[in-house]
Amino acid sequence: MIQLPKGIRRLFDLETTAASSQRHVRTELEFHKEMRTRELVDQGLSPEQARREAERLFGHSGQIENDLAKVARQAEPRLRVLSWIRDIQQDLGFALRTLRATPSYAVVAILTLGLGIGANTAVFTLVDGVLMSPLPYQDSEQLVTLWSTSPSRGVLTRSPVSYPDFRDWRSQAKSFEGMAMLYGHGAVLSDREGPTPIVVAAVSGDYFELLKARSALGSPFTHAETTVNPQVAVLKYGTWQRRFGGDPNIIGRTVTLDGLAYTVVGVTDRGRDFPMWGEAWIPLTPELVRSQNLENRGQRIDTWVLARLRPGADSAAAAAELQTICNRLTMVYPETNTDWSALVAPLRQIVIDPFGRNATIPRSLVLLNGAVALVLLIACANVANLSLARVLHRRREFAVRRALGAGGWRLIRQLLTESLLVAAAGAVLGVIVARWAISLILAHGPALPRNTEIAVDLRVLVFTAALVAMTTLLFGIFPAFRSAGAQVTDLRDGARGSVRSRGGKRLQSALVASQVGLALLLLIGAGLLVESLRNLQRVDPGFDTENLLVLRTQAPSPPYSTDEQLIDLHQRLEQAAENVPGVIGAATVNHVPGGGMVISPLETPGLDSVISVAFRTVSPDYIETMGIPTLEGRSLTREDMAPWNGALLVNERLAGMLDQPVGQRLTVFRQKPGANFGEPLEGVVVGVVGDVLGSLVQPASPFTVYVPYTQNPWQSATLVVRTDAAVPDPAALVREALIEVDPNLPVALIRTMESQMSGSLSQQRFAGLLMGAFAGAALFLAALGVYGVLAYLVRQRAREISVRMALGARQVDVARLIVKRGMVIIGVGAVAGLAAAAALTRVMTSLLFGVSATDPITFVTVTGFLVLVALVASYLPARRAAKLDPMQVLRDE
Amino acid sequence: MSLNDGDLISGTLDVLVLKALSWGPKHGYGIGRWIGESTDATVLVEEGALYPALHRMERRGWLEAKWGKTELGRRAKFYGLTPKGHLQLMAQARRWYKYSHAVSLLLDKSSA
Repeated sequence: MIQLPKGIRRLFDLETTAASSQRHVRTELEFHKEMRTRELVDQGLSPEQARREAERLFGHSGQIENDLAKVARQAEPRLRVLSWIRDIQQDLGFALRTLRATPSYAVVAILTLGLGIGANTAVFTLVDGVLMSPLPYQDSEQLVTLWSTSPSRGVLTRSPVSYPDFRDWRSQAKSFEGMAMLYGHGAVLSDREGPTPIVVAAVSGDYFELLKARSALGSPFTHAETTVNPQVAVLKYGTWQRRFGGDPNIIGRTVTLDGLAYTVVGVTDRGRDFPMWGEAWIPLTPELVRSQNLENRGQRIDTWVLARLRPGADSAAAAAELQTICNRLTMVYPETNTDWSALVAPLRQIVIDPFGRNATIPRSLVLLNGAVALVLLIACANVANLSLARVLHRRREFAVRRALGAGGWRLIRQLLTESLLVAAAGAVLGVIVARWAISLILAHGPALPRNTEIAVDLRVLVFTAALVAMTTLLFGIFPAFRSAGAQVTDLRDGARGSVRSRGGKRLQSALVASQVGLALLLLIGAGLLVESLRNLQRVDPGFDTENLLVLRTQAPSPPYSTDEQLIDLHQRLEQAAENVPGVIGAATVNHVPGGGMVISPLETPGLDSVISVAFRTVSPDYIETMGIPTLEGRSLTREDMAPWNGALLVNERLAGMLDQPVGQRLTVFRQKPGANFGEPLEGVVVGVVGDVLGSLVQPASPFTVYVPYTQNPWQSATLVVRTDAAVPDPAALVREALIEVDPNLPVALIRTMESQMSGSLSQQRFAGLLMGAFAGAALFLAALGVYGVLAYLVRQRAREISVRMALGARQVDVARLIVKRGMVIIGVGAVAGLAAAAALTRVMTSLLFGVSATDPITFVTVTGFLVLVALVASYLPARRAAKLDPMQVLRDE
Repeated sequence: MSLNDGDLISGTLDVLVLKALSWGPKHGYGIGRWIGESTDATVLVEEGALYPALHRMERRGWLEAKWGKTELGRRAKFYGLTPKGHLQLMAQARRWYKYSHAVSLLLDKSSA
């Protein structure tokens, strides 16, 4: 080293740098060991032996070095900060060494925390992706959707807005920066691969300017552009990928929708494709408004309204303003607008629950988040117990360090550093677990809203880091403070089970009892969900779901423009399907249960007010093909249809509203968008049929009226086909037969009714599965905790037990001693868990079906199960205690 | 008496080290051996305590360290007393005598 004047060296921190002082310390200590070795050799030891002995006498030289380095640094105020950093490095290094010395502890702790943190990270990823993270649009909190509503007509929820209403709202409301209409309709996309039915969103020109979404390719059309050239289209990312193989040169290409050519100008980005049902966007042109009869102020169907609040405007004020506008409109257009008002819903709510079917998702996710947090708590308790046992074993080490001048705070920090290291390693494992779990859930789990936005991203990692800090404190704090309590006197008493460790045992038992309690809480929650799922699976949907195919067709217009053309098409389709071998029957309906519905007002002399009913247009064989029972009167026949004699069917629930349902006159209104929308259909009830559920989670069947499809044939219709169970793969045959009717007609097999019904429970099944998994993990950890604390007890009291046995205690007595101890822990935990469950399961009420949140049977059976498992866990150490060989133990002491 | 236990180390060790160095500079190993030999191996100083004490006293200015060669030509760190260290030795020795005298008085009384 170059010799420099001292002042300069000091100035540049050369001499005083930690590295050089450490080198000096090392030289000094090395010299000491050498001298000692030499001395021992003089006493007659071999050089190797002497060296080893010198090392041994010297003790933990690394620790001395650290202490010395610290003495050196403390004197240099300039190095205080450095010293602090060095301390952390030192702590980390030391922690790493001690953990390496006890790999079994490290592995178990890291695995336990890894799974706990991983599960939490995964669930948080879902919660964040679906519920919390901002929508991927600029200033997305300003985005709202607008709806019509009419509580007095029984339309409690969101109903679409008619185009004229929308125009008036847009021109009069001041709370909004802009407002855009979306009109969703089926269209046929034709290309080389043939026709496909897709759902197109026709949007007013300023839609994309309002949404402010980034595009994956090209740029979406603007209002100004659509006035020049309205034949433009934006494709959804998924459509672009599926139909066009992600062709990067798609911009500028032409696609054909319902026979018209559109130039592709943009592709939406993944996850930035509101509305979720749209597969392509085209401008809402005056021609389209005319052809779809959108100018009808009473036609509230198939539209969504997107609006952007002015910065600073709040949605309550906006809703109030819309209300005044609605009141004005009611005065001017009493016929169509009486009792109709406006509803403002945040876009976020619509994105999560577009059709009012996912209402339980936020609750389920929050519940799962709570459950998984409890699992982590239990995991922390487990690791805390492991660490406590470890600290008790290391009391000698801590006492020596205290004697050497280490402060209590220093030991706490050391222990917390070890805990932090374990938690951090657990987190690394956890993130891997979480990424794996998320990809599994996205691939095989239920369809979650915003699923393209679910990813282990930076927000999630920040959360995981917070978890690490929290878990470190949770499981590290007890052992850390216990280590600080180590006294020099601990060195004297042999540092084995003595008075001082009694507090440790109590703490351990308390931790295990809380584990048992938390596990019981989770088990009961899972038990309730599973019970509710079983009830849901037993729900009778009201029709025969087996061997029932659902196919959707989209008749392009032209050539299928008039009602006659559509009726003819549907008859030919039914005929073609029935001709397929193995088909028992086929029928047409506008919307199959679970496949959406339209609502019509219903007027009847038997009721004082107008109510809203599901409006289903059906072919004569529909009721029979579906296997819906006719309860009263008769079903519809071919003779009822052409010409229509006014025959209608009502479902059981609606019939319950009417005094004498059969023979009752009632009026519903045509609902297919178009020229005759809203025209009355006056008919007579000829029969009452059973209620039908479209999904097993729907609480009840809606009021339903079945109208002959000849009175209101849909452009997009659904064909239900009953097949013979003996025929293999009838779906493909049926589809081929239908395509033969008209090769330009797109036919999509939606699925079998069975899979639709079972699919309707996928979210419930998912929640039940996860909850069950969490509860299982909790139970396992709690059982492990019980086992651990009792096994420790047996080790600690081996001597006492041996003495007892030597004095004549039988094996049974010994085993009973240990099991009794376990029972106390389990009992305290179970009581606490039951109390917590009784208080907390209430939050699940809205997620449960057919089972109360405090269902005694679930509470009792689950508690019994937990106690059983816990007893098995305490039996193992008890057996070990009973098998102790007293002579052996006493000799070892 | 053995100093292995640690109870007596703080305070006592300092005065022993200062005394060892009052005869002239020594390296750490030499100090340890001197204390051992002078007490007929009653007081055995642990390295884990000795070196931190040496360094602490050096920082306080009681000792002055110099790197030098031993008789055998090995490089070693030699500690010597500073004037401040001399004063400290006298002060601590006085305190120690007073303390041990008090303890002896007490023990004599209670055993009598």
